[in-house]
Amino acid sequence: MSRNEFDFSVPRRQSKFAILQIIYKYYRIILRQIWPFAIIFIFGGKARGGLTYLLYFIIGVAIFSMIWAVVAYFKFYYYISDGELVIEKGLVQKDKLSIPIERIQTVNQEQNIIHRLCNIVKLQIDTAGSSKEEFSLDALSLEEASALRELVLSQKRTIEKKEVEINSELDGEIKTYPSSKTIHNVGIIQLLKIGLTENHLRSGGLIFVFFFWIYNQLEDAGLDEELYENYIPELSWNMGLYGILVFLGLFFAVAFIVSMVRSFLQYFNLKLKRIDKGFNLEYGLLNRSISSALDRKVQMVSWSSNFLQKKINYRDIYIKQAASESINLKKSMKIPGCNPEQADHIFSYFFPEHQLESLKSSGVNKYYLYRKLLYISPVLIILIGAAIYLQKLAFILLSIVLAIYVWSNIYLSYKKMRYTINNKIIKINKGSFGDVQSIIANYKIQAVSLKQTPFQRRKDIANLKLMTASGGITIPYIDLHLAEKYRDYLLYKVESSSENWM
Amino acid sequence: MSFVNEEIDINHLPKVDTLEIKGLERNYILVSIFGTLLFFLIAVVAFVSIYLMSNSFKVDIVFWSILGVILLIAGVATLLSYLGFKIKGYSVREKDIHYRKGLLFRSMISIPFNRIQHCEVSESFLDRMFDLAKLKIYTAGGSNSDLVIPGLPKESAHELRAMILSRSETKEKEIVSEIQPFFDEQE
Repeated sequence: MSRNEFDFSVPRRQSKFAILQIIYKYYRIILRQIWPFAIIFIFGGKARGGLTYLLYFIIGVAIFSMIWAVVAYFKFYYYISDGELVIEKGLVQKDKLSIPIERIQTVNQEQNIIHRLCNIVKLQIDTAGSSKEEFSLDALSLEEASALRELVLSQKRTIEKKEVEINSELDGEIKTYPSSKTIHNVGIIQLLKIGLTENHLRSGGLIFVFFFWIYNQLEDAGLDEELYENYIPELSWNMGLYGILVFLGLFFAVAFIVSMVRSFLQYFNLKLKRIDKGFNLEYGLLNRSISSALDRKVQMVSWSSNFLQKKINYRDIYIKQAASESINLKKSMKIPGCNPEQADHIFSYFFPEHQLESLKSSGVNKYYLYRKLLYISPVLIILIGAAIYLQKLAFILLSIVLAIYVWSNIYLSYKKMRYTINNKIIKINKGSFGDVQSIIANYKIQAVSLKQTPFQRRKDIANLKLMTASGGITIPYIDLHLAEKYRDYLLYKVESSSENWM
Repeated sequence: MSFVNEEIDINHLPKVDTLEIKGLERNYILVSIFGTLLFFLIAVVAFVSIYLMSNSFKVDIVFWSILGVILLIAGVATLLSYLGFKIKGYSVREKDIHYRKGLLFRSMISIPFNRIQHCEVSESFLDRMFDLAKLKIYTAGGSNSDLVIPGLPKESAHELRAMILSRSETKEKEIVSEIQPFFDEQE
């Protein structure tokens, strides 16, 4: 072994750059806590004299956390003993975390901007358990990180001789895969397109919440509202249709910019690579994230395409791996900006083409449509009625637009709800203005449940819910005898299968 | 490789809906009714003491009407838990286990033995009074796919657990090293 220069059996400190990294981490935390107060101090009418004290306070905290970071660095050790990876840390309160190596599921690398400048990495160690405590090494030199990974890997190998393939999942690093092949690569143009077709409503909502929160904070700190009231145009129904349109236009413009910047930072230079029996994904401008997914750990594969994405034939692909609930989100790999051919290509690794040749896809019972309409329509009709009663043109128009949107949404989601069950897979298509497709292999199912509301019992229909280790899918409103048949069939498939679901 | 995609006649598969559902132990009605009543007893005591203290121990029409509503809900809840008892039941096949529940919102969950991660018997305070136990079955499918069968006689709960564990282990012997972490964690 060429990397014997690292002896992990004696307690080791992290790279010297860890001090920088820790300081960066503290400053970020402190900044996050302090900035609303800073704004309040600066703009809040009543507390203007506090500005100098605030400055002293910030400087004090900054110096203190710098010292703290240095001490923390010297008090942090990690080592391997008795087949366990151990971390010892803590100044005041001593902590000792240990994890048996055979329980380590994946080792992921992360680099934020400090990491990249100092040529170090953060190792995130993932276990199968649902333990919430973070097990990570914040700053290791590249060589040390890969040596540690290699060691963990080889120790795991001796423990689990049978599972040779498992080793590959411990490797997020690309260079150990000579056979790796880039499948998807996001360039600048594609990045722009991804940003363009983001869910702008969501970005807008985020900004809205953000401003609302700042306003609340300012008010709590004693912002004198009347002082500024003259500058703020009055926002009410009286300002008419024109005002609302301007407001909406502004809202969408800001939302649009936010989602552009966000997707640019997040997905910059995205690379999806096919590695031995799995995928490797890396992306990010400031924070570079690298993660990998092994084929056999993947429980569900889906793609989604919203209204805008459909126009330019873009799909977001989600590869969902088995995970405990607490870390579920991290385990879903999102690959934005794939065209249909790329999507099919990625899907084909999990489901050979013949499996996707659906025998026939079926729709759901029409009561699915009727019920939804029945619940929501009275609300909409009351809203329109109220608008007409109040005789406000803007209100009337808005409520009618809303009603048409909701109704067509319900109708489309009924029309698009389709499912296929064949002897290998279950495929669900749904969506309203966008499209979503999810596929799971039969043998990945963990449990099957059949649910009926009182109404469904009267009409002999049922919801069939299929649970996997990375979430469930529901086939709603199908005939009871069909649901029962599918349940019996899928149970038979799971029970007769000897394939390893994980 | 020639691929054969023959369709299996799903009409001849073993059917779940023709299975005989085994009801829970009769005493479990008492356990569930006691449980419901205990909950509402605490609610009533809390309400009465808070109301009287904040109202300087004067009893008025508002007091009686709120108390009436709580008692009415208690009555309905008790009735529902009594009626719901008849729906609850389980059945065990060679390779899977099923549990049915829900008076209004009916559901039946089926878990194949070869997907069971962990299985345990637990007894609450009320269960112990009637010599009953709960059987809890966990899969990797998250909390939605976990199964709890209450109101089993203590011995049969333990027997059932032993049976399930032996079934799930014989099937999974080859990959037991992988499932091990889950066992360790919950035991």
